[in-house]
Parts: sequence; C-alpha cells; structure tokens
Amino acid sequence: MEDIYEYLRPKIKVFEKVFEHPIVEVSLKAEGGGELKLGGVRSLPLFSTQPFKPALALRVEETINGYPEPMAREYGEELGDPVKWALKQVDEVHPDAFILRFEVKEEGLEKWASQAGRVVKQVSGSCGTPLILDVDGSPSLVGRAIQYLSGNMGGRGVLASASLTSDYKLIMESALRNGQVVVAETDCDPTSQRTLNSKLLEAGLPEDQLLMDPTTASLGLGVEYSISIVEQLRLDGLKGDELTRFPIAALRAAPLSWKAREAWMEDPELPPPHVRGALWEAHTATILLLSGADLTAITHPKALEAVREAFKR
Amino acid sequence: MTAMPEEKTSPITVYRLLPGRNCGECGVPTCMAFAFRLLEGVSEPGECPHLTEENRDELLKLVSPPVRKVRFGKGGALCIGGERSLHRHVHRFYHPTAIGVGVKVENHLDEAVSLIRRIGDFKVTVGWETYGVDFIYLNCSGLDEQVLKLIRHVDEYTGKPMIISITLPVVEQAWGTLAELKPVLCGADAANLKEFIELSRGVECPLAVTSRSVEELCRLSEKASSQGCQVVLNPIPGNGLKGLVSMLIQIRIAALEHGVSGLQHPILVFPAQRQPCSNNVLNHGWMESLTGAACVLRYADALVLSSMDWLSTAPLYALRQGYYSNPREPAKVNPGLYVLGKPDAHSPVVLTTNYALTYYLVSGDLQAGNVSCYLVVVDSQGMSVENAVAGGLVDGEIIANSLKMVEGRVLEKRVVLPRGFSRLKGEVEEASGWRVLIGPEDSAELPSYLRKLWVGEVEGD
Repeated sequence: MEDIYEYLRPKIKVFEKVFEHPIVEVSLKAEGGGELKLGGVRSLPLFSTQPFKPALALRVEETINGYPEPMAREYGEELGDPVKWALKQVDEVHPDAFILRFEVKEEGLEKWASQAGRVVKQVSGSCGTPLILDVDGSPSLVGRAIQYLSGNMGGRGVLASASLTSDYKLIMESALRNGQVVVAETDCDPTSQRTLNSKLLEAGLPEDQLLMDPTTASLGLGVEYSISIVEQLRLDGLKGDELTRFPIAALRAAPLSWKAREAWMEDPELPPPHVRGALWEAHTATILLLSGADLTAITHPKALEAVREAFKR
Repeated sequence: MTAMPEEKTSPITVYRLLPGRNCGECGVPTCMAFAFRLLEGVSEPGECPHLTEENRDELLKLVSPPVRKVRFGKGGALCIGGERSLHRHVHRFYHPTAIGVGVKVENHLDEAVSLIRRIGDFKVTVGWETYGVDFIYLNCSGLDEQVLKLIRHVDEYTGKPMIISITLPVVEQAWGTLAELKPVLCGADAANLKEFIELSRGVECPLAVTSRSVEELCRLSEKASSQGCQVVLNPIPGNGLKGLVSMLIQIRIAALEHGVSGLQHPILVFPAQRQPCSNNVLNHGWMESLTGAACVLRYADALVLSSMDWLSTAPLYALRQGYYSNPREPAKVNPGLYVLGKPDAHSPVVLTTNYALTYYLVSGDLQAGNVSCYLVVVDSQGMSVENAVAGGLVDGEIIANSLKMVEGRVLEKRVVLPRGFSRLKGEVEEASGWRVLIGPEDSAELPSYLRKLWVGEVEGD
C-alpha cells in the first residue's frame, strides 16, 4: 500500500555517536603467524555503523581444580590435561584466543615451573591462536612466574596479571623483551586504572602493547559496576584521554559468574548448576562486550559458542 | 521538542518558577531542594500545590524527561520510559525494563487460560528479591467476545497489566473493558494507523506503532501523538541481536542527543523474533535470553519473552536489578550488628560490608547453614568487598570501630574477615586487639568453615 505519510517529513539520517579519536589498535600475535586485532574503533559497540566483531578467548586452567566445580563434574578427567583440552576446543568451538591460567605456590616451585613451562610451550605452539598467560598467586611470585613462563611463547602472545599489587614492572620487562602485550588489571576503579596505565607507559611500554581489564564483577555479583566502568573508560578514551584509549580485555568477569548464587546453588527445581553457570557466563560476556569490552574470556565452551552465535547476526 | 542535553537547565531557572514560600507541602523543606528534585526527575511539578498554571506548564517543558513516560494497566499501574540518559554513570535510569511473557490466543481458549494462570503464578528469585512477570502480552488475531472473556480473565486471575496485539475491527462490547484495563494496543502500522488512532483515542489506551525502519517508526509515532495518542515504539528489524540492538541504540540516540520528538517514546521489543539458531547444541531459549539481556542493557523499556522459564528470565531480572539501581546510591543495608540465630558468648563473629548483595549473600549462606553468630556489617558506603578495599573506603581503623559493637558479647576476641580484606589483617589486629581470621573464598563455605573453628558452638536454634 502507498505510504500516505511519506510527505510529512524529510528523510531521517542514521543516528550514530562517533568520536574523533580511535581506540589504539593492538595486535595479539600467535605462534605460527596468526593474529587478532583489537581496538581501532571510534564508537561504543553498535553506536555506529562500524563493524562490531568481539573476540572470545577460552580460559584453560592448569589443573582440573582451577575449574568451577559443576564444570569439573560435567567434563571430568578431560579437564586435567590442559594441552589436550585446548586442542580439542580448537576443533570444536575454535576460540579467537586462549587464556591459560596457572596458580603459583612457593611449595614445589621448581617442579611446577618446568611442568608449567611445558604446557605453555605446547599450547602456544600448537593452537594457532594468540595465547594470554595469566598467573594467580602471591604478588611476589606472580611476576617471577610470568617472567619465566613468558619465554616459552615464541615471542608472541599476551601477559596478563599486571596489577598495582603485583610486580607489574617485571611483567612489563618480560613483555618488552619478548615483544608481547600486557594486560593491566584493576578492580572496577577508573583512577587506579589510569594510575597503572600511566606507570606502564612511563616505564616504556609502547601504546600498542597495552590492554586493560577493569572488570571484576559478573552478573549477579554487581555486573553494573563492570558495565559502568567499561563504558566510562571507553568513552574517556574515545574523547581523547591518553591514559584510557586502549582496548579492553575482560578476562575476569565472565569466569567469575560461576560464583553467583544463581549459578551454583543447589535447587532441584532449577536446571543443573553446570547449565546455569554456563548461561550466567554467556550473559556476563554478552553484556560486557556490548558495553565496550573488545575481548572477553569464557571458561565453558558452550557459553563461548552461545555468545558467538548471538553476535553472528 | 525537549531541551537538548548540552543546554542543561540550571536549578536557578527552575527555582524562579516556584512560589518560593518554602512551605514544605511538596515533601521537601525548601523550594530550592524541590528544584533539584525536579531536575533529577524524582519529583514532578504537580507535587507543588501553589504553582500557577502558567508556571506549571513552563516547568513541565523544562523538566520533563526527553523520553516520555507511558503508563498502562488498570489505573496506570505500570510506568515505562521517562529516561534521560544513555549511560547510567552520567544520569541514572528510572524505570526498569518491564518484562512480560507472550501468549498466543488461538481457537483453544482453554489452553490459553491454563497458560495464563501459570504465567500469573510464575516467580523467580535473584539477588535479594523475588519477581513475577510485569505484564502479559496477548497475541490475538481478532477481538471477539471469546477473546474479550479471556482478557477479563487475565485481569481477574493475575491482575497484571496487558499489551494486546489485535487486528481491527474490535467488537463494540470490548470498548468498555479496554477503557478500564488500559492495555497497550499493539498492531498499528502504516496500513491501519488511522483506525488504530481512533480506537486508541476512544478507549484512552497507549498505542504501539510497529515498523522495520526507524524512519517509518518516527513518522507513525508523530502522526499518532499529534492526534493525542500516548505512543510506544515497536521496532522489528528481524535480523538477530545486532540488528535489534543497533535499532534500539539509534532510536535512543535520536531521542536524547538530537531531540527527534517522534522517537522520544518508550520502546517495546520482542527478543525472540526470527532468531534462527544454527547450532543444535544450544537451545532457542539461550538466544532469546541473551538477546533479551542485550535489550535490557540497551534501552528497551518493555520486552516480551516467548516463554517463561528460569533460563530465559532469571538472567534478565538479575541484570535489571543492578543496572537500574541508582549508581550514586549503591544498594546498601544499614551498617551495624546483626544477630543470626541464637548466639552466645562462645559464638563466632563474622564481618562483611554493607553492599546489599554482599550482605544478603553472606547472611543467606549463614542462615542456610543454620549458623548462630554475630554478623558485623561495616559501613563500606555500599561498596562490595573488593571495591571497598580498592577505594580505601574501609581500613583497619574503621573495622576496629565497628568491632566495638560486639565487644562484651563474646569471650574470645576473634573475627572472620572476608578474603578480600586479607591485606587489612595486620592493620585490624593492631587497631582493635582482635585476632583476625580470613574466611573462605566463597561465603557458601562459611558454615563448614565456622564449624571447624568453633567446634560445637555454631549450631542454630
């Protein structure tokens, strides 16, 4: 039918919100030549006609104990071998990157280091996607562990865990030596994110080797803090703030989803915890990617698939 | 056209239009305070009993939110829209996305009736609250006497507001019911707008206009509101999450940053529309749920889910609960001493922050574990454990002070601090003289942790 109201108005343009200053483009490199580019955008996701292609990293734990309990029960021993698990997921859900997470302890340090070094080498060498190295433990050990392990990545990949409480200088030096990218981690606080970024830049880290992770809160555990912090930092960066114009890698928020009561609580009337945990993770990831995170880590492969599927169209 | 954001109205401009008697009849002591509340959007000009008509109209123009409010349901029970900002850290959001469930009304009305009852009874608990659906969406082909009966049933059984999708014409008997129940009328497009406007004006129900394009939505809505209808925008881009969310964002940018009056209305969406899922592993509910969450995040004022189960609803309620809270007033509980169960002089002392979510998680876990103890809630200004430490809102001194509340109630001075407070351990011990234990990572493990340390002293009543 003929549109009788056509004459009422002139054509409406596409309403966008585009800024002058693009976010710094950071390239995550994989051994064997693969590459994942983050940043370069000039608007919040879907606030302009710029393409929106969020990156999804699968989080792989060193041991089965690192996984959320319901997931460990669901997959069992399979999770005990990080290299096998990662390779299987390359075939099944083909993540854009891997984040390999270790826990370092004083006890048995040497033995741990040689074992962990082997895992890093194998995952980095055989997955074909960029590898993000993440070490948890006492601040005095984390820096040293990263320093040691980062040499096994063929001069590629990303080093996470640089925070104001950890030995971020040591981590940065390793990155500089190997040509790797650093993730600066803070807890939902723009001031400390600026402080840490500025310390790293002042100490000589090139702008295109810096990512930031200000997200600590997942769905059900105050995700609104993560949303606001990501939006705030991204908008500041787009407006030209030299301390926040870096891509955001939300490495911690989605995996934390398993800690939300809605995910783990025992209730026979609800779907099983491994389903709820994965769903919660997929939601946290989706929400943060739409808020402005350029990359998110996800633990459960089905959650990763769901997020990818959701953003397909 | 409403004021553009950069032309911010000053409180003085608003104050000059107020009577200046500081009578307090509006509920706040001074006219200046009332002016601030008007600008914040928490008070409305009508609350001042001494305004001249002229000044009230002027004020309405100055302080009305760019996105108009639409009330629907009996007596205008549910209010959507009224937003002023794209980002909650710039200006808070006011009216949480209304979440409804759709019912297709076909020949078998009995099925619809039992479904409606189940929807009416549906409950989901997230965080610290239990929610039901906010409204029911009825997708009716026509509106005959049978359907009319069903509409009445929805009201009688559930009392929920409705959004009703219909094709015209409607039977005459329906007019009285519609006028009373005030559902949003859905189904108006370019082809039938004129007839829908007539109906909407006749029964004084809001009208939802539907289109695939932002441009057409704007035209339809201008036409309808120029004739006195309250308008809801219903975009149906029909191509997945990204298409839908981009359209929502475009509409809201146009409304808030460009003052496009035709788009300054609340938005109604159907996250499930044409969302083919290419992967069998994932069920359809996940995609709808993720799209729904994206819509809650990006400006949907009402959304209709195609089914009602825990998986599709719970994440949306969880997101909405925090996202629509006022970021300047974090959800918090009163700091102080909370007595759980029947503790005595040998019972454990546990400390946490006054961020509502943290408090409810910790106290809920302790109660679920049937633990008797003293729970000291420290004033972290409503921040969670991690944020309280990061922001320096809690230190050894502050914790030592709050421990004084429990002094004299227990024989042995030892307190369990959240793991996130570990680095305050030394400070607290020094400032308070209490021995500090660091609790488990997850508060769910608190009961068993306490049972190990306070053998035989934690059993509840």
